[in-house]
Amino acid sequence: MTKPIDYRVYPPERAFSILLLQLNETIESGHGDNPEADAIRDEMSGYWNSFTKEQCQRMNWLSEDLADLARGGPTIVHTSSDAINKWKEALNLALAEKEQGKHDDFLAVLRSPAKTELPPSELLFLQARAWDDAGFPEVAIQFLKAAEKQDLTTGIHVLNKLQREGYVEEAVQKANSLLRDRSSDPLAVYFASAVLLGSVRHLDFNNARPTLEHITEPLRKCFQGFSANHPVEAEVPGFKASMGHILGLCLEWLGQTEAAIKVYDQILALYPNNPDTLTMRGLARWVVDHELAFADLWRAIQHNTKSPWPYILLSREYLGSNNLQAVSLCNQGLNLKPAPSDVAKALLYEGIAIGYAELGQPADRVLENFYLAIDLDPHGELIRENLNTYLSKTGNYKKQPLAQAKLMSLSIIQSSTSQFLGQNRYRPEKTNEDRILRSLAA
Amino acid sequence: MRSRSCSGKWSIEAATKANSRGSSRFTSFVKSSDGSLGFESERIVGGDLNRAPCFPLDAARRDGRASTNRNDNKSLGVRTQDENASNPDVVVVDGMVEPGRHGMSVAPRAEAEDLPSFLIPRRFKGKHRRGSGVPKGNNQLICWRAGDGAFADAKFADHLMFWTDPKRSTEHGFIAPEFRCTLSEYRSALAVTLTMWALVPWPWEADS
Repeated sequence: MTKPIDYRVYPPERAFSILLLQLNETIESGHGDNPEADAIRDEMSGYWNSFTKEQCQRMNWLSEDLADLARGGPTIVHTSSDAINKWKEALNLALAEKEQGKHDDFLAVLRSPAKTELPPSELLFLQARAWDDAGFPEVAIQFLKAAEKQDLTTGIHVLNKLQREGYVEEAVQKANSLLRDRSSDPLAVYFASAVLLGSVRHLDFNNARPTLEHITEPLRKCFQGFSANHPVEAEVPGFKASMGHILGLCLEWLGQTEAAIKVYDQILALYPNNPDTLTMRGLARWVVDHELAFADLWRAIQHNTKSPWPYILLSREYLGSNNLQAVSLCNQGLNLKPAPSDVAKALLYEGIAIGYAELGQPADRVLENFYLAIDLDPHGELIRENLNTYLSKTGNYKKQPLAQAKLMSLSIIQSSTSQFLGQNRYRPEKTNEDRILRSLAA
Repeated sequence: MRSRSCSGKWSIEAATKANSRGSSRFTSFVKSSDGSLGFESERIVGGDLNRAPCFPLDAARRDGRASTNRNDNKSLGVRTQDENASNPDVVVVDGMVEPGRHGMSVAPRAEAEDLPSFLIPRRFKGKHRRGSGVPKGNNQLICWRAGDGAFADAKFADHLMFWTDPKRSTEHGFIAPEFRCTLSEYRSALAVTLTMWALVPWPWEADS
């Protein structure tokens, strides 16, 4: 597995586990006695010498688990019905310990499994979750990959983990393979699209285009075919909206604005007050129908959008005519939780500065806000131009181009996606783990 | 060849008595491949003597001749923060090394329970006790030991002390400078112990 960043930045046990995985790979490639392998061992010994007895034991068991994994997973050791019941009992006890942050017992129980109805892929999945919860995501990825070999639906968890841990290259590869796989379920298509869109968001159109086109077709099929009664929708209310946001953005970027607006219309038919969709439709409509766009952005604000862009765009509309309203919108935007990006905050401070200037406020109040904006976005040329406009007293302030807001709507997707994938909304791996454990309990 | 400390377990009493007599202790460490115990000039050959009784040499070095200077985890020496920034054996400040519980790592026995699995030759895979880690070491590693006392704090050799690791006092220890000294003096003192170290077979050698 490609190392994303220097393992030395991680806690010692995790760093050691990464080195152990590297050593295993080196040995498997037939270079176990080479200087390369010795250099890895050399690094490992530094960590080992700093470990407590408990940490050493945990690392020893990790090495055993990885060896078992190479042989296809743990060997079933309990088969009588009595032994199976005892194993389940031990599993429940260990599970309670795990909830308290003690993972070793749970890992030990999984290491000596009983023959149950549990498919091997689910056992491997539980081991992955256990190592992940214990602070070893790279190890978890190995177990998830092994589980995926036996059950393709685990692919989404592999992708999710790779993405979260910053293994971008591998995540993109996995996302591409999930999108190519026609049997991928809507959740997998959504996750894969989100990862791929994220991977091109900083590219120019020509470079991003192949990926956008690759995403659009399977995502469109999924979106159109996705019923509001789908089990995922029950589990994750708003799932279809999240899927549609990515589709709409791809279409917009591909120049198919009308098609994108239709997608947003469909979403709003299902979720009339979704602030993210209102924001995105507002941005898409801005050049098509200014009035409708204006209404969408207002509604987004009324429905507590977390995006700063409605505030930024609407405040610019008011500057010069209703400056008090403009300043008020900027202040509201600055108070959003989570806080807007620095670039967005810079534009909000700039809006306040211009509003104050138009209202004839003292120069120090105006300048203070201009300088805050410049500090937050030192490369913001327009902010500097508007500052010069203020200083020269010509009063002809320039508006930020819509293109910037469009570009920033990518961050809406990003934040909507990361919220969706994040801890507060939906964690597919947790859902799957709960399902498996429930089936065991039953 | 195997000494008492290599084969048996020591009671606390025995360890205390040995300590009170001030006898020099135990200790083995694993060294590998080209990291023979020999040294050139004043520098130790090889790096830290990780773990107690073993020290691996490659076949070419089995004649016991001095080899190149090295400071890695398999040789008679230590790594400084310049050589292993994340986990140095000793921290050198203004060229000086302080006494204390740090330095060249050693272990009490060449057993899987005491040595990390990545320093046990891979050829012993399958012979280890489950839970002690799957051997992942260089197959050329061999084991060295010195001393036959208890694995407890004591003087080890001229200018050198043995200290147990407070986190794992029965499994891990350090050979540290007895007094504040330069890195070069410390490494020289370690190098002088060369003749104290004797080759010992791995416990699983007979079965292989």
